[in-house]
Amino acid sequence: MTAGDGPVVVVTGASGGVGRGIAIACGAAGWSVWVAARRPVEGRRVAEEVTGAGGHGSFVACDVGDGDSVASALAAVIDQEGRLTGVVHNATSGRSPQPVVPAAVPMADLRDHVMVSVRGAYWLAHHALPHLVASRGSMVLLTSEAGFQGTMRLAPYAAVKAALRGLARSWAREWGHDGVRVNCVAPLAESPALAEAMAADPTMAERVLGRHPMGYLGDPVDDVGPVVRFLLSDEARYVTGVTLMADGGNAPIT
Amino acid sequence: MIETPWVVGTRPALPLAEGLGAELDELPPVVLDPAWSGAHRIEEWREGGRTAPSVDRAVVAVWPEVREPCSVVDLDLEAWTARLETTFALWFAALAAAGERCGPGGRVVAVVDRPAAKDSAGRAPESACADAVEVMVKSLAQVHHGRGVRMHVVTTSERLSGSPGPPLTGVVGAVGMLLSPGGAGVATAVLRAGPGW
Repeated sequence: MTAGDGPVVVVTGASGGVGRGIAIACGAAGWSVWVAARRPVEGRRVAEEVTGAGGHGSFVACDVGDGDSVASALAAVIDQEGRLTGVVHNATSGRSPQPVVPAAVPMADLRDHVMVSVRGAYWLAHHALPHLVASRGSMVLLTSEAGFQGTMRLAPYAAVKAALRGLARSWAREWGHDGVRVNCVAPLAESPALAEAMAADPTMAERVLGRHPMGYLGDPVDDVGPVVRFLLSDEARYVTGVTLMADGGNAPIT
Repeated sequence: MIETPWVVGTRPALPLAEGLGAELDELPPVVLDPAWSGAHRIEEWREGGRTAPSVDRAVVAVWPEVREPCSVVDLDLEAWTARLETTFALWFAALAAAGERCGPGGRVVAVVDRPAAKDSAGRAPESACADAVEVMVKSLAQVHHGRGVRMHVVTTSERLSGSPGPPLTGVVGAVGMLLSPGGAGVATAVLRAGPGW
């Protein structure tokens, strides 16, 4: 069973956290949502939540740093659905919340950040673009407040998140004439990764929330998911190359 | 009077070093493969600099050879790795090293290629690097703020656009301003330099 002729979207890194919230929010609109992740147990659980929210959830195994894995995952989606209208690249390295001293970051660790965020975007672009052209679909890349402001202890994470903004800006101009849109969303939301980062750095909670205008971390399903869904939808058909902040006004970027 | 800065970068940045009246401390000519198997050379360079004397002024310019615009779907993985991931890795290591090497009250300026926004189709690697470098500098500025080290970025489209006119004049001027006594109070600036509006 599929969701008929409605949107069909793939969300990477959707087995938990912000990715899960995006998947469920898209499901709540009745969309067909593919939870693309490495962890099958957690991924299938989220797919069930998508279905429970009113959509059609499916799990597909995907390691975004591996081109063959991305190709295989997207082929499975096309085989089942016949089309693809949106791709959300949310996956990040498992090292993202780990504090580092920039001058001592092993190249192997930097590579891991790049593999998941940046090369993952490259593989998704390569393998999804023909299908997005066919559907006049869109791509959303998840960046971060850190991808604007930098961050003292998570410099590799901040750098790859910034790089995604640059990719989106260029790809929006590259693909616009084919009707394909590319945007970023910078969320600030509760997630296991943020919880881990705050546990590793006791000063982080105060830095993040101390002067937050709304005083709380966003909810991935209710505060961030709908923003991504908007960018994937026809409602945003004339929006491309931008970064939407979904952070409760926290980042001083306007 | 501006003290001659320590300029670290790749060979194409030699004209910038000369424009600043400095020698170029050249980074290893690394081109990473998709497995990053050459990354140990970057680490060796970084380790070798740990005992170097501190500096008051540093300029970092990881400038790859200028390549023609190319759609991402036409870039194979080797080209992507060479064009984006190698440059990204060198920038990260060089900026982190410059921050460490800069003494109390010192200044670091990164000079990075940034394609003009409306000309960025086919320039995804360069756009991504430019955004990443701006944020690397902002992260490092927070790291070294306590020692009074200030870090800045100068972006330019001059090399990518092949603009006519005196080469790098605007870039050299912007770097010189940030390193001058008059720039002592500037905090984590991102300046666009070069010909154009």
